[in-house]
Amino acid sequence: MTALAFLALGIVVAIAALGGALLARLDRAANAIAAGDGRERVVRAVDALLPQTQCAQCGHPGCRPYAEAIVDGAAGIDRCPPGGTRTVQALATLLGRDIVPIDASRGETKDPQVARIEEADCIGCALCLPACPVDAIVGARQLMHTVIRADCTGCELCIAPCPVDCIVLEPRATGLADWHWPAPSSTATTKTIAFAAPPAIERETS
Amino acid sequence: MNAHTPQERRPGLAALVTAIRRVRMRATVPRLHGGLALARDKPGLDRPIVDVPLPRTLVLPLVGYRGRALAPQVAVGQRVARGESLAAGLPASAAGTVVAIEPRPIAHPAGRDAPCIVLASDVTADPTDTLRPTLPALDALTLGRLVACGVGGLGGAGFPTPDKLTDAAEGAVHTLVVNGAECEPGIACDEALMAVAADDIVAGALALARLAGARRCLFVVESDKREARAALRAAIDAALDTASDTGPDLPDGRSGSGTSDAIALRLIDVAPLYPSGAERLLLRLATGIDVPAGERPTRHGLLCVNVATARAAHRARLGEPSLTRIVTIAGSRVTNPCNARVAFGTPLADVLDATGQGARDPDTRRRVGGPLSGHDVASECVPVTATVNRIALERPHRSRVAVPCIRCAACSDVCPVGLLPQELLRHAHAGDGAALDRGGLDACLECGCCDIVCPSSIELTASFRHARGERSDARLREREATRAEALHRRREARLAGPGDTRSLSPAPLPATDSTSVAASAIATAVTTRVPAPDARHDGGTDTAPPGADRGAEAAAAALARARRRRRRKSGETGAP
Amino acid sequence: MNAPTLDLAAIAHRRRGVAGLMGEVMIALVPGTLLQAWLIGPGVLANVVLAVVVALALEALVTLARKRPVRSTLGDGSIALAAWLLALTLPPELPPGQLVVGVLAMVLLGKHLYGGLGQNPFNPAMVGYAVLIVSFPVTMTTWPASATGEVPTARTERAERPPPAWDAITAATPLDRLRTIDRERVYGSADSTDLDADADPAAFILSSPWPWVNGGFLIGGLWLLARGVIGWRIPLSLLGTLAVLHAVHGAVSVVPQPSVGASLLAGAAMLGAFFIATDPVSAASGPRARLVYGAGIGALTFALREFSAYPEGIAFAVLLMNAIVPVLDRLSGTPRAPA
Repeated sequence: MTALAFLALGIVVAIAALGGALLARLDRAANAIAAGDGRERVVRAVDALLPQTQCAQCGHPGCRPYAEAIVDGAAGIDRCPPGGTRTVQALATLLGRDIVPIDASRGETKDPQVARIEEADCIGCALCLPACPVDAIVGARQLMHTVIRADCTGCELCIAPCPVDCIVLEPRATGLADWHWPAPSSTATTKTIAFAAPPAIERETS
Repeated sequence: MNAHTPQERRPGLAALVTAIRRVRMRATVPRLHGGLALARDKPGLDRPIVDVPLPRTLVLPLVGYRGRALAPQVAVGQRVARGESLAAGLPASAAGTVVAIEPRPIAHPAGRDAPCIVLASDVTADPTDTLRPTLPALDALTLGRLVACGVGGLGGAGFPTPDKLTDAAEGAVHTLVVNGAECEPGIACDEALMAVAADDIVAGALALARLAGARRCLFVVESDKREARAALRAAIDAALDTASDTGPDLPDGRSGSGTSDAIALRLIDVAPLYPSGAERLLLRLATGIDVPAGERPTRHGLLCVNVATARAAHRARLGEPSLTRIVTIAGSRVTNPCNARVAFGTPLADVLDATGQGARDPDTRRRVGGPLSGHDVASECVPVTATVNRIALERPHRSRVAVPCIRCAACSDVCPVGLLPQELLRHAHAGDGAALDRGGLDACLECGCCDIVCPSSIELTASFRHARGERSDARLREREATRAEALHRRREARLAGPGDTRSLSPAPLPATDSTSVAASAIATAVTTRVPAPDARHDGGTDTAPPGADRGAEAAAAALARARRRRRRKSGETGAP
Repeated sequence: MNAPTLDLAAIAHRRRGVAGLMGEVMIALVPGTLLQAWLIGPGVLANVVLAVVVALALEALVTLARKRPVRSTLGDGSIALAAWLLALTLPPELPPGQLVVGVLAMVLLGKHLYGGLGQNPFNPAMVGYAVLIVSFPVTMTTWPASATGEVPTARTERAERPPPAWDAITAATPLDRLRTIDRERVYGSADSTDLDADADPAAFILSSPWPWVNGGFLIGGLWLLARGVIGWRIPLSLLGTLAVLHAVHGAVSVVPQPSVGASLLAGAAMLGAFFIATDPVSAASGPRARLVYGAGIGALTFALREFSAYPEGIAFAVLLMNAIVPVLDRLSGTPRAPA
């Protein structure tokens, strides 16, 4: 009888020890990520999920500073209108946070758009050139300005500086080549799904 | 009703026949792993091919492969000759006048209109005119001739054949596979063509093989297509006898003709399993070479064309443009199932009337393409194009309600590519892009085998199609984001640096498409030019409009326009 | 609402729905059920009917409470089948109140707790059985005398014996008796009046009605295999592992053990192999995973039969293997021919 009791006790202790060891390892991993260059890896992973519009609607001058703020806990994941619900979902999945609606005060989520300069109205003042965060506007003083459509992210930062309001935003053209099959009716849901493949946070090399 | 409808037999007998066929097949011919032995349903083979006369109005969509837009090369009001190029790879199916270039309904699952060239054909022209070549015959087929004659894929996917050939680098293609394995039930156009035009098919295959530099030509046909098989066999034997540069394909890879630069010809049977006619699977069955999903077969030395495309290549060498195709007319509401020769641009209504289908019931559904590979269309104004291999009139859908997945794994047992549809479905519902990639969603053929066997009637193929579209959108967004980030980093480096060009990285930016390569070249040129200190892009304090060149009036006019626009905008929004 | 994209009605291929599958399984159960009712007691039929009725009623209530469509949920026949299977594992004399407890556990804990059809990780019939055998160990192991085998000892004459009446005194099943005898022998009980030294323990089993009942389920199972309703991997690996282990045990054991054939026809081996372990929702789904799953159930059944307090091990073996199915599915988790 006592032998059996000792055996049972031994098994319980062994399981507890195993569980404790596992927890310790998980804890160490989590701490390693949070400190030091583990933070850099997480910031890179978060930055990879942001749409890189560089529009500053989140209140940060670019997507990378916003990513740093998210990781440092200074900003929520609901501040990116160009990313929309998809980005919130992807960030929530990566960081284990709750999915929240986009903060409406930051702006509205729009369909992909590009800026176009009405060349007839452009006066060549070059005020829009420094405003573009990705240098998508080509031109110089007293010469025609034009937006490189492939580079433009639709961030709208060039609209305000233009004194003649000659920059218009147009939806990025979607033709038949961009059409995709809709979801089957039996599974259609009202929520947007990310379908993203977020890069895994790189493992420690040590 | 369809002459071959198995419902006419007792169900038990049909099942027994299918089972016996399956056992016989297993022992003899190369067969797919997975796949389904569907009941043989090949309409219209018991009667000759019907010639549908040219309609008064032809509608030719300016839509290329995968929905790409084609630029028209003609104008409204222009008279065009038969075979004249209306756009890249789109010859005029008849002589006539361009009446309009406008959006019209087309045979596309999106159900949207697309820009089309509307041609009023000269119906007064001699009907035999349709067979006259418009270009001189060539001794050897050239790429330019294929383009000029508009030869494109006639198998259902519509990949432009000239592009297939330009893909192949010099001497890279060693085997041409001619796909006569029409595996989908309900379509018989290829089989009908093989029975009547086997000589043209073999001749076209030889022409393509010589053009591509292939050493072997494999003709693949399902083992139960007896008439077509016999016709092809006879044509191949004739070609082996008459052509000087052909020889039988021996098992050890040598050609049996004795000369080293001969093209070896061989007829291969495959088991009539669906979907053994899918290009990647067919190539594996015929050659043993595995072409991974997403890669072109030409990278692996293989070139695969449909039998109809091979025939079109032969006619192109003789100078005839590719203006018609065979279309199977079938379906539960079709009174006269048949195979018809139809000119491109003929609306469905004309085809159905010419083949004697009678009045359509109001709730009849029209479908273009096969039961598994096709899609429904809303109107009969939709024109026949190169990808329309079947037109069907069906009764309304009576689909079963989907119940939850019971994990029976019938879907993975039957998947010809070896995927796990129930896992993919889970990942698709979750929107987990990484898991979908790992699970091999890109390799999915969208064949529909999993849908057929699923006891829960889950719309698996539709879910995978949707997931693929979403995933490709997500990948595009990721690529654009990477590009934008690179541009932003470059800009930050430029602003932070001392203005020395040597500090800027000369690496090219990731391009999203070919036009942006040019754009990024411009951007690189712009940003690497050393700006003079006073002209640095800081706007400066010089706010006087530089309108002195263009005149003060022009500048004033521009400002006035701007003020008007601002007032208009604030008037609309109600804000100053 | 989007119309279906595939035109499956235009393809002449017989498609079975979930209800069709369940229906075919029920047809396959009929021979074994009738044999069991005839040879062991008509209480079996009463149990089946009661269990099915109570299960359907309970599922209807739960479905209404979950605001789901009642007709399609009940219409797929899955809970009726599970109730039938549960009833077959119960002694015919089981008090109806206890049976209802078992059905309750099956419907609520075994199925709807997890979200209904397709979501349950554990076999619902076995959940019901486990709850019952743990809660009512005496009544669950008390079978009528008709269920037990006769002991051929040297003392009794091998004369014609009348078939045991099903209302005679209650007793244990042959496996139960064998287990007790084994223990007594191995641990050295004083005198074992039940079995002589040279008596064949297999006769214990073979003289009971159980081989006939198992034979009935074997026939039904083979029919299901031929119809393509179940796959061959789980039954083959289960029975194969069980056979191998019984053979090894028989060769190695100091006390005589029943033959392999007798062991495979005892207890719920055939019912478990063809009907219980093959439940698609709770079983592993990949081909390799299914082989390991079946083998694991066979091994655990053997271990539980020989070394546990329970006479038949199938139920807990299935439940234990159900628990590790997600791990097993990783064995078959990658596509066969990726890209």
